[in-house]
Amino acid sequence: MHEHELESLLKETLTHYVDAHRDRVADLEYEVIEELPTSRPNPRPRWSLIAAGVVAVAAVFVVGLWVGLNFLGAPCHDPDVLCLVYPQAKSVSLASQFTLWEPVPMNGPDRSGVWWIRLPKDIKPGRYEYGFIVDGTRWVYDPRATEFVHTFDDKINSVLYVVPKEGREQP
Amino acid sequence: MKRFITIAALVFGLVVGVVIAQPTPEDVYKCFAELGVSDLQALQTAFAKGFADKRITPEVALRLCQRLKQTAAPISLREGVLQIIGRALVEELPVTMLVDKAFEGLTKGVPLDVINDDLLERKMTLGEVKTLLASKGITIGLTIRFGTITLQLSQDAVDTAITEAAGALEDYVRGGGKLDDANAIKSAVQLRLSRNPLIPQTLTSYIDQVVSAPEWAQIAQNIAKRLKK
Repeated sequence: MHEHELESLLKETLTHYVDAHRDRVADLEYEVIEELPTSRPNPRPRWSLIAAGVVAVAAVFVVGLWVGLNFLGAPCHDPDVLCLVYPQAKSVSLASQFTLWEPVPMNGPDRSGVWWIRLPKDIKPGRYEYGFIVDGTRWVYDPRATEFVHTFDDKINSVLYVVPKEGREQP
Repeated sequence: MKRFITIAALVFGLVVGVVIAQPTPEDVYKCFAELGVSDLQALQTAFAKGFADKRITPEVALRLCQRLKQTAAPISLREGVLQIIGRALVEELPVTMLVDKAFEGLTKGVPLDVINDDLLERKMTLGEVKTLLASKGITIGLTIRFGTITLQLSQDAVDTAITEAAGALEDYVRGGGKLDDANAIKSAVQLRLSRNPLIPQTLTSYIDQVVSAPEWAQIAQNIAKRLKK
């Protein structure tokens, strides 16, 4: 038998075989798809999306803080906050017994020219004298204080009382 | 487990670091020596007593010494501040007001000779108030009975009462209060005592009962003489 005769015989046999089993392979593709697991593997975390989300949250926070500080005003209604209205000041610091009279820069000014600072959370109960230093040199008392005392060079200190939350301390 | 050990080691290191960072009496004495004080031994002894009595902390003493080191003034004046506070500590007086006025004066740029005069004058007032209260039996450990309340006085309570009474008298005189109005002087003292949350109400009431207006007025007049008011 020649090679081309063998080839045509093989082709004829295969064609005949496929024609005979065509109905059995017709749905093979769908059967394979159905056999595949239904759940997909977890995709890799999309770091770029996460980073974008973090940046967006941080931006919202910063903008919110800026808006809060500049448009909502100083939180002077809070009893733990000291405030001074001084629109023309370039800087204002708080100096007090509880800072050992070291000047601590205050926040501000807000749109109304108010400077403010929150009392330290760990401040102990007691009586404290304090004052504000405007532009590094000028001593200014707190007009909102309820008690004042004369001090060096006839300057005036304001007085603040910090009362323990649980009431008066026992000795 | 490995992560837990790492975190525990970090926390331990932080705590040790904080403890090590706390100034010690030796740090204070070293600062005194660097300042160039004339009688280092006497100052050391006085401040050691103050640390032991818990009337001043090494942290505050060190900060005061460092502030004095930064001041451009003769050493005798800088040392004077420490000497006045040291003498007060030896005499077992509360020094909160003195230390506070020293810091306040330094911050406000008050000349050191003025600060020293102020501290010396206030130290005398503290001594007079302490003597007055002691003459009424108001000392550490006194037991006061007020109705159903029994109170044993701590050093903190007595020291704060002395400080506040002396401060009230100083403020009254410096503020131009009338020296012949003994009742006004007593009211100023009692108001100050009653407003300070560290002084028990029972002690304030007791002082009101046992110390008379003329006795407070006498100290106010002494202050006025010293201040030439």
